[in-house]
Amino acid sequence: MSFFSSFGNFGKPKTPTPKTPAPVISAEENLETDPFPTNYARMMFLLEIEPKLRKAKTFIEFFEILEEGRLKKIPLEKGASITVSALMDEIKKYLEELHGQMPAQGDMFFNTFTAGEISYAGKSFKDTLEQLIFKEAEKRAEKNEKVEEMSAENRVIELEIKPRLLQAKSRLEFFRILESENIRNIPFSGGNSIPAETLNNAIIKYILDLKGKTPSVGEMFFDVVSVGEVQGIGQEFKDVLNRLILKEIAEAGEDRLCRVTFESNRQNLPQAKTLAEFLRLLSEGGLQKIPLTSGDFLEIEKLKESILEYILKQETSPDGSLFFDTFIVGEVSGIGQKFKDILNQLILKNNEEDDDEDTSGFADTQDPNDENNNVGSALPVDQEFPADNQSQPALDISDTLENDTVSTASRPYNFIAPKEKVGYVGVMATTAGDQSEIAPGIFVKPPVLDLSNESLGFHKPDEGIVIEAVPAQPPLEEMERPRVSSNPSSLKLRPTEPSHHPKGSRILRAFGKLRKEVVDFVEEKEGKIAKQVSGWGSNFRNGLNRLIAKDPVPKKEPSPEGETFDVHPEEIASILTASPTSPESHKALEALSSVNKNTDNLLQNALETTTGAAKTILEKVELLGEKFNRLPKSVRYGTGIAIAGLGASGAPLVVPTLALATVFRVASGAGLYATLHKALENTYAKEEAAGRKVKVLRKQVMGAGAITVSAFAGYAIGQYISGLFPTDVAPHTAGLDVGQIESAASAPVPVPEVVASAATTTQIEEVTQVASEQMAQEAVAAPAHEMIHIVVESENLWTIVKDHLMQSDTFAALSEQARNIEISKYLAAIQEAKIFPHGIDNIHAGDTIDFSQFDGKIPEDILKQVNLFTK
Amino acid sequence: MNNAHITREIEERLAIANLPEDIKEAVVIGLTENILKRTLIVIAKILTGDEALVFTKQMESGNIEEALTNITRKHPEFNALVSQTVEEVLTEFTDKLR
Repeated sequence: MSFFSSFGNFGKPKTPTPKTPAPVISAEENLETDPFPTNYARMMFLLEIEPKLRKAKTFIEFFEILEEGRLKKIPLEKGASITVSALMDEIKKYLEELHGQMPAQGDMFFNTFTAGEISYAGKSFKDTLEQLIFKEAEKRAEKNEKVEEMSAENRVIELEIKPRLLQAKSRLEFFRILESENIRNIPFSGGNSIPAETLNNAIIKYILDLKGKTPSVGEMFFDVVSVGEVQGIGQEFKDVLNRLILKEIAEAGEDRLCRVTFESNRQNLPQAKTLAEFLRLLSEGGLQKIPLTSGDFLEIEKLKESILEYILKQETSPDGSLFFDTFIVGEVSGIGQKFKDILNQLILKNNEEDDDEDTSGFADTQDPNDENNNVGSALPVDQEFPADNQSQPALDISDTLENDTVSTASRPYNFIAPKEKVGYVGVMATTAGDQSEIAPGIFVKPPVLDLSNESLGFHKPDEGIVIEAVPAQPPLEEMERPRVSSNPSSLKLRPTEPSHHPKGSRILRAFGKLRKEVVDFVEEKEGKIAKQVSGWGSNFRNGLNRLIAKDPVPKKEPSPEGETFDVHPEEIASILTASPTSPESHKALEALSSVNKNTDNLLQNALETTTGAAKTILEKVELLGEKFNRLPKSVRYGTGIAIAGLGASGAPLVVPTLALATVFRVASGAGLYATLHKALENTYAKEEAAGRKVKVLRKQVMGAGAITVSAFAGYAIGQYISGLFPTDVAPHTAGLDVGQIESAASAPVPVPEVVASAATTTQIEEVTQVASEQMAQEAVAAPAHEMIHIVVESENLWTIVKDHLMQSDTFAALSEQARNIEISKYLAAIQEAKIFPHGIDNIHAGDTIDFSQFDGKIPEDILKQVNLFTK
Repeated sequence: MNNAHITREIEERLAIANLPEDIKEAVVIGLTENILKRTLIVIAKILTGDEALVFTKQMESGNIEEALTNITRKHPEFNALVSQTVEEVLTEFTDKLR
């Protein structure tokens, strides 16, 4: 028994063929022709040749050593011998008779050798040789297995797949058919094959390199790229692919190029270590959009925006969702699960790196040289192939990508396959002689066309060059089917259930280059607003928000910045310094805001359905609002009390016309005090008729206001209205006295000392009478200096007039309300004089006003000239 | 009933009596503005083209009372509409506040 009998693995048993006797040189013949063996020869063999034989790696080498040792014959038992060449022939015959099968345990060479025992060459000689023979048999058996497999695949391809391949409408469909039939290796001459995917990548690179140029004769893909003779499918295979490639090139519009470019870029995405790098790799070659299954495209910029939106959302209110949990792009059909996994994880990774925590295990998967990472879904993106074979538009790679939709939450995140196992087009290119190997088994030639296999670097079968390039593929049944795309072009965030992935609060800071994109994006979108807001303090913003809530009327005209116009400085100050708005207050302001919106809607609807003069009235509505808002706050408040008060007592809410007219006058600021005067006169007449003493009230008002304007306005209008009511409807406003009026004050204004110290209504009457007269005298005696004022930028007429009047000590000593009356008189007079052609609200730098024509010359009833409908 | 009573009743009607003064003022002023605006809308709706033209001229000349009296004469429902407008504004506010 030879030493091989101790081996356990001998492969399939092979029934030995009956042996014919080997050509043996008899002992007699040996003695006659060659005195071999001699002791000397034997000694030389044992000392010089036999040690070398033990080092032989193949049986061919074994015999070469024998020849080098000038050993022509091998001694057999009983003086016979066999020539070295005859023994080698016997061995070759033995191997051939195995037919590529492994020898059975009792069929080793020296079990079947029929020339007799090797004599003094020894057991070592025989064992060494038999081991080499077994090794060769094993090698041939392996190769035979491959050939058998290839042959079977060839038959399948030839009979079943080839007809479909010939009908393929696109390159992608061509490879999809192969994939659907699980044909991952395309056989070609010599029993070798090329991975279908590698071939596809080579074609993609070829198309990209053409850059839209149509290849001329002799420049077709199989002319410049050697992939063997493709015997498994034959020339038809090449012809079909050439035709499809040409078709693809011919259709290489922007979209087509986009698809191919994306297909190419996609292969490099697993190499991305950061999100910024991912996006850079994705955008290589000028790619701006990602093709989807539906034929739509997802713009990379929109993808970026959505990522930023996601990041910002997670920054402010992390819900633990992954980006693609919240991202809808027609179900992301076409992007592929790998793409999504990588992107999700890069976003997570940024967060995790920032937190110095590794909670997802992502970091452990990033070493491309760690083969242990290449498990499960650790396939490179370019290893993905579609599972279905339904007809799709040419070059629709989306299904190819999407079909690998393994659950994101459950799979390990191993994206980077060992480089040595994957042929990345354009990345793994190496140089082999005068040509570049762009992928295992595929070599691109220099421009000169050379059709010989050797010059093309075509690998000989013994060199075994193609099979190892096929990495393990996940079973198709493990892949999820793509989700149905209901709205592929949609791009929005959707609420999702939280996942297990932790979210930190510092994603943005860890975002590297992308953070800059965030800032750029925000600044671009928000423009000046963002910059303006950035300079505001929170108090100011809060105050402004409250002002907006309180005063939502849009200001179409620039408003003077005087004390009593629009938003008063003190009002802003009070808001800015106010304590935070209570929930109740906030709710009230919200309710007011709601009413404002309703009014705006009513106005808008009315404007849309009204024409002519009626529309002119509607167009005045906003003007009314503006004028109303320019009134002192206390006046606005009092007006409201007056109106709302009409129904406050529970009596039927009736607003008679004249009362409304009064309110309009008050509300618009038109002839405010004159109107009130008139109202008071009416009231006075009524009250006097009733025997009541309210004369003091009139004098008090006209004498510069010892009470608040709001209280007065409300009271006065109420009195006026009540005077017009039937006695049985509105008796409630009668019988007011000064004390009651003062107690109703809601927006106090400074009360002149002389008034405040007055103990009785009679005293007040006397004091206010004096005050009024003094004020009139002082007004006439306005200062004569600086009578001409030249308007400068940002000035408004109110402050100009006020500044002018403040030169008078008498004016300066007046109460604020009294000052306002005087200023109003000046404004009315100036408007009446039409000094400013665009109105007193619209003065410009360089305009001049000569106060000499007004000082002491303003009629007492000038305020009647100002009305609502005049700008 | 004096002005203080009216004010108090208004504040109670609007459910703002317990709010800070500045908020109360903002509410009253805001509602007033709404009432005034809606009143003008009512006027624009009920007037014919010619009437609207006359109304505009009268208002522009400062004859506000005359303009409104004319409306009442030609459209007796005007006062009721204005009252209804006031009531609507106040109700809208209180309903929203609840």
